[in-house]
Formats: sequence, C-alpha cells, structure tokens
Amino acid sequence: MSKAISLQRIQAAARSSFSWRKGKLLAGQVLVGILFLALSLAFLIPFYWMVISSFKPVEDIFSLGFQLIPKRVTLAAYSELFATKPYLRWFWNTLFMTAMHTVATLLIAAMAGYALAKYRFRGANAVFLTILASTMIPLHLKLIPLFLTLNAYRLINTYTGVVLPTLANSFAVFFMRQFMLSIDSDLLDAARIDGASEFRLFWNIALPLSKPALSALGVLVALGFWNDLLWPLVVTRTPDMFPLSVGLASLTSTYRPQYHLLMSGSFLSVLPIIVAYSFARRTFTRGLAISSGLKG
Amino acid sequence: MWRAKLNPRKVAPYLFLLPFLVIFAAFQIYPLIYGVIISFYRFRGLAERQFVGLDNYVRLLNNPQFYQALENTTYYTLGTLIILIPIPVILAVLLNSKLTRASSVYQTASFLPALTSLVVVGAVFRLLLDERGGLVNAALQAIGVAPQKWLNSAALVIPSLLILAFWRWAGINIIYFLSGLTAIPQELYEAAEIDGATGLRRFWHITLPLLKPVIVFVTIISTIGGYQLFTEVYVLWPQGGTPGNAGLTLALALYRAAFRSFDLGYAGVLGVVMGLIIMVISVIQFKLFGFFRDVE
Repeated sequence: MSKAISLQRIQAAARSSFSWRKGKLLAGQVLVGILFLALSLAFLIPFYWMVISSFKPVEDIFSLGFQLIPKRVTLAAYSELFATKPYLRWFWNTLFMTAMHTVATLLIAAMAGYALAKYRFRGANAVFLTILASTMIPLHLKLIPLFLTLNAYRLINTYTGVVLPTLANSFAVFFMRQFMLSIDSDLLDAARIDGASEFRLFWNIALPLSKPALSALGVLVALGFWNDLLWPLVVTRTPDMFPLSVGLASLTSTYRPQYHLLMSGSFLSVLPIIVAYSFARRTFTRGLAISSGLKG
Repeated sequence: MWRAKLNPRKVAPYLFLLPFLVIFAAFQIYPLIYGVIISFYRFRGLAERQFVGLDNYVRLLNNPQFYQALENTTYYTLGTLIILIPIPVILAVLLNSKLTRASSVYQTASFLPALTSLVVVGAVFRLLLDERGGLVNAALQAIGVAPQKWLNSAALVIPSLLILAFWRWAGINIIYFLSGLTAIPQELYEAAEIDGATGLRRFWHITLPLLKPVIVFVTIISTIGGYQLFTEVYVLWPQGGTPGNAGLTLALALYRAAFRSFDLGYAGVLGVVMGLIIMVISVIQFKLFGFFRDVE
C-alpha cells in the first residue's frame, strides 16, 4: 500500500515537473521568437525601403518622417533610368560575363580538381600546396600588374579583359578536389577496363557525379562575380561596357547622387538573384556549408 | 614509336591541370612577381618608368595617411570580428534549438542581404543613414534619441561601416555556424543532459569546442575580407573624402594612388604591403589554431 502511494506521488511529481518544463520552454520560445522577429524586420527593412524609394517621386525620397506606405507612387524613376542610362546594356554585360565566368571557372576547376583527386603524379603535392597558398593572396597585390598587362594586350574595356584573369580560381579547384576525393576509384577503373578514355572517365563519370558540388560552387562563383565592384571598375572604361555594379556605382559618384535612379536600378539588379534564390534556396547555402567544413 | 610508350594514365593529370595552370601562371603568379617589381619603379604615365629602389617604400612610411589607412582598416577588421562572430554563433545556436520555431523563415530573412551586391547595400545605407531624411535618424527621433551625423562625423564612420557589415554578413555567418552545429552528434548533448549539465555548460563544453573549426574558418575569411575593405567606402562616400579621413582604407588608398594620381609604383607598394599583412595574419591565425596539422 505504501508502495502504491509513493508511486502515485512520483508520477504526480513527474507530471508537474514536466508541465513546468513545458511552460519554461514556451516562455523561451516566445522570447526567442520576439528576438528573431525583430531581427528579421531589421534585415528586411532596407529592402523594403529600397523598393518604396524607387517608386517615390524624387522630391519625396528624403521627405522627413517615416511613411510606411508612400503617399505618391510613380514609375518616373524607372522610365528615367531606361531613358537616360544604358541600364539594359549593363544588365546584359553582367549576365553575359557572369555566365562566361561561371561556366569556364567550373570546367577549369573541375578538371584540375579531378587531376588532383584521382591521379598520383609527380608534382601533385607541389601544385596542390601552391594552389592552397595562393588563396591568401589578395587581388590588390595583383591589381596594378594585371591592369598593365591587360593594357599592353589591349584588353582593357573588353569582356575578355574582365573575365579571363578571373578564371584560375584556386578556391574552386580546392573545393572540387575535396568533393572528387569521394568518387569511387573502382568505378573509374571498371570503365577503364571497358576501354573508356581518360577524358571520357572525367566527362561521363566524374563530372555527372559532381553535380551537387558543381551547382553549389557555381552559385558561389556566380554570385561573387555578379556582385564584384573593384575588378570590373578597374577594367571597364566606358558606360557601354560597365556591368551593373560599376554602372550603379557611377550613379553615386556624381555631385548630387541620383537616388531615384540608384534605388530603381538597385532593385532591378537584386530582383533576379532573389528570384533565383527562392527557387534554389538549398543550393545557395550548401556551397557555404561545404566550404566552412573544408579545412585548409 | 614513343606514342606507344606513353601511358594515358600518366599524361592525363597534366592535361587536366593544363588550362588551370596556364591561366594561374599568367594571371596569378606572373602579376604577383610583377607587382613586387613595380613597387621599385616610379611611373610617368603607363609606359615610361624609372627604377627608384626603395623610394616608394620610404614615401609610404613617411606618409601619415598610410598609418591612418592601416589604423582604420585594422579597427574595422577588429570590429567585424567582435560583432560578426559571437552574435551569429549565439543566433545560430538559438535557431538550432527547440526554442525556435520557423527557423528557416528567419534564416531566409537574415540571408537575403548576403545576396545583395555591396554597391546596392552601400547605396541603400546611404539613404538609410542620411542625416536629415534617413530612416535610422527618424527611428532614433521616434524613441527620443537625438539624430546622429552618421556619414558626416569622423567618430561615426567606422560604426556606420560596422552596422552595414553586420547587416550584410550576419546571415552568411549564421549559415556557416548552423552547418557546423548540425554536424555535432546529438548523443553528446543527451549524455551531458543525463549527467545533469545545464544548457550554458553544454554550450561551453560541447558546442564551442566542436564548433571551433568553423569559428576558425570564419575568423580567417573575416580578417582577410576586412583588410580588403573597399566597395562600402567607395559607395558611401563617393566624393572621395570621408570626414577626417576616418574611412580611408588600404585598398581605397591603393585605388586612388593608381587611378586618381596615376602613381602606379606607390600603389604597387600598397599592394605589396596589403599582401604581406594579409598573409602574415593568415599564417599566424593558422598556426595559432593549429590548422596545418589537419592538412597534412
């Protein structure tokens, strides 16, 4: 009998401690929820401000006081942007160069990474260590020499001049090598016995198997190029060759910055990336997740 | 005859590496060496140059602006390390815990800034931080704080840049830390809970040590990125002058020396110095965290 009572007591105690813990958890969830809601707002407000500013008449952009919804809405900034600036050309330049850069970088890095991951050869270690060490060298040390070299070969202000020097991406090679280490060598050997050439092993086996790595790396590489300012700022000279970043930056450097053009141009330049992100969220973050896990 | 002897398996890795190595040699190694050589010359225009020995280095060391740029860049970098590592670690831990529901929504909100080009970010923040009509001052006034001269006072230059940096990079760092957290085996926490370890102790003795590789990675890329600060300042203060030169960075000084004063030799020295600083700090950090052991 006393046993039964103590059992009941224990059960009751367990129940009450359980609900107490549940209450504490709920309180924590509410607090943390408020924190993240506030943070998310802070992250989103600048976007919202950019978008509504782009639809305001110029004189309202700096109107004092906070208006959640603009009083007057107009497309004037957009029509002025397209009428007075070669915006579509900037957009095309960015799109074209980013595509060239991404495809070529991926192919070159995949080939190099495959060689380093799946072959034993003289000099492999030296090449790998050189590539690793070169990831630490900032662009700035190479900026003036690259500029002089491009100038000597008349490549300043050309697509080739912007894209070609960016194609030897050490980080991309490292990334691909680490991924391709996981490709089963027996699979390659079996194909070899069947008479496949070394290039076919790469093209028909290693490359398709690397699709997850290629897409993750491709997003990182494309995003980096799309958003870069310093390098295209140095290489492009005339507005018809500007990518979006340089074109938009040129709008800020006039004595009186043209905020209405800047905001509409910015919004249109961010839009495709956000749309792409919403379709492939995991691909965007996977590259980051992988690269933080790579040691080196 | 020799063709028959050539083993495709021996030749293949070199052929796979060839495209990378050619571009790497032409646009990474050669400019690196050329960059050091340039620093010993004084340029008149692009073509005419004269060997001046260490003259450019002496000029750099005698230039107070260099020390100011070095100081500003170091403050900024330290600032980003202080705000962009501990806070995102804590946010990532909260996002990963039972305390957060709808974690992916918050992640998306915090990640959107990372998709945005720094030119756009700079343009939007110029609008937000504007002294008279900016949203930040409007918000401050609403809670009774006096409006600040964000972009027009020397003391607020670095804080403004840090606000921007937090907005732009926090989401990326959260993704890095989250990917590190999900790799920690759940059993460790369960075992610790059975042993009666509190949440804080579990964080201190399990989460932090196991997150160390990712923290090291983020520290190193943040340091390298911090010392290369350019775009944000270029867009926020396009007239070329930050108040009291408080936003003069090494990269900006280099860009101005090269493409405003056409003093390419001097810009070359700045490039060499930046390269050295970044390499030395990276190597120290690698050593400090014992990272070379993992590579071998």
